[in-house]
Amino acid sequence: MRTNQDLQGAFALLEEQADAYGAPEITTHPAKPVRVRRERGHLRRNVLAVAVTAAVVGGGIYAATSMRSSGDEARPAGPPPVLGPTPSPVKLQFTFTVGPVAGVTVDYHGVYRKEQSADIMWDGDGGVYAGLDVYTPGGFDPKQAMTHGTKVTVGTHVGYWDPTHHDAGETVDGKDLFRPTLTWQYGRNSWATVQFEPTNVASPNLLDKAITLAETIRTGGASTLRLPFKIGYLPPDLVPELAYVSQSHPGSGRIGLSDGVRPDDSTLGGLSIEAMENITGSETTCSKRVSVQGTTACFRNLHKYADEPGSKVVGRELSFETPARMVTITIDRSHLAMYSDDDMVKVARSLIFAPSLADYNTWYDARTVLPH
Amino acid sequence: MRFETYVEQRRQSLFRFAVVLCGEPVLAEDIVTDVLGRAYEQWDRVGAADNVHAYVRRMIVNEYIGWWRRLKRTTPVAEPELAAAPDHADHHAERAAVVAELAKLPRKQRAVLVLRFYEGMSDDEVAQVLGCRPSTVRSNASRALANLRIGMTEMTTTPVEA
Repeated sequence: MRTNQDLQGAFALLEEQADAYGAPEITTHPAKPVRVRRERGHLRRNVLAVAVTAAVVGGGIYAATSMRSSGDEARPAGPPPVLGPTPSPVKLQFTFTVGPVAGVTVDYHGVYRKEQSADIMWDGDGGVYAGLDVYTPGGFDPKQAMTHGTKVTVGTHVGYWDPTHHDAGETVDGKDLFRPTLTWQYGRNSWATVQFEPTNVASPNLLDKAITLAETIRTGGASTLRLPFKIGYLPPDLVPELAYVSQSHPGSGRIGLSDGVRPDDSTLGGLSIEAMENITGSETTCSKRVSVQGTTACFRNLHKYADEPGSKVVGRELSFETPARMVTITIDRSHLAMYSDDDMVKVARSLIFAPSLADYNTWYDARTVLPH
Repeated sequence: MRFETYVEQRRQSLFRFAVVLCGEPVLAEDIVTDVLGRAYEQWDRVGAADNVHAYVRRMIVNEYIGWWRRLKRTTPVAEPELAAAPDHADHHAERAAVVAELAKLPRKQRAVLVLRFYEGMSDDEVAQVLGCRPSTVRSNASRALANLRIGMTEMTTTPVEA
């Protein structure tokens, strides 16, 4: 068993690493604080992340403490859209239920085209966490589970237990991360998984926990997914592609919509809308400002590498905030030629917000949030 | 206090705090720079706070947790790369091992540990920063300590002046 000294020693080691790296150089130039850009590899933060972006100032290269793109960057034209059939809408409700299981907390999370998900926590057991994914028929390839897992029984269904499941590229300090995973077939060509966090690799009785949980899962019913806003206007032909929420602090909800144009980034659809509790304060640097919902909203281009404005533009974003919430409307690169800035403003102005982002019960049934 | 004066006095300690919080200097650099940028833009309000440094550190914690929560379902995010630590002594190797295990903790658990045992905050103060109940702080701390295999009975709060 370790002691307080071990924890303090770890903190001290991190302090040493901080000192060795050196604090960022901050100066105010010309109208906002900037830091001298250091040479380093790509920091692959997602294009949606709050990020530090570079701008050439006065012949020197600096990183502006703002979001994503330099302040005067123009809206790119985007590629000509390649039209195809409008996809079928994803139903904005959960079609599975879990439990109840004593000592287990279920946080229903999201619905996607191929799966629905929930976050699972076992109480009083040293912190055991897992993600539950219930896939639609044909939405999951069980080959890896069958190859690497041990055959088990989940109720009357066949399953596979892989305590050393590893997803390519998941490493810490050069070492592979393992996510113990139970995969089982709950119906014809239909699979579900319970995947534990890497911190739980050595936790006892994981398989028993997973099977007990899995045996309580019922599919085919319906339960409500809630979103913290309603949408009064959308460009035509957009249908739901996904929606997900975080019910715990900070509360947030996002809906992604697709049309007949294949999005570059299928994780969000062609146009997405997110509202999130405002816990990080104001960010006002932007390439263009408009008035939305009584406040100033900002347009920004999104870059493939958020800290490299010269990298490929992968989308465009309109964001605004109030003391209570931050709202973001995003289109991906393949829709730059489809939806204008005016379209995005029209969507933003049409939003109606739930009374409290901190209270999931005040949010709207996701099936009622679309204008059509 | 002028923004420039605050940055001059606190830049290093803010960066240290951010590295301890997120475990990775490059990410910490981005977080500190982002937060200071926003603090500068709102300096009339931030600089007038009763405890400016506590306010800015709270912004850093919220940035760290909020950023990660926003991303975790949309894109696989590379775990922080830890700087190589010499392992010529058992003591150093053990510290590096704890650092590696800190990196695997859920962000909220890690933030609780850092605020509680690095910053020396009370449960109530941590709850205020994270926007949750004190009982949630205690349960997160308990889980984090169990994950790190640290005995609660031997824990004492050691405030660190940042």
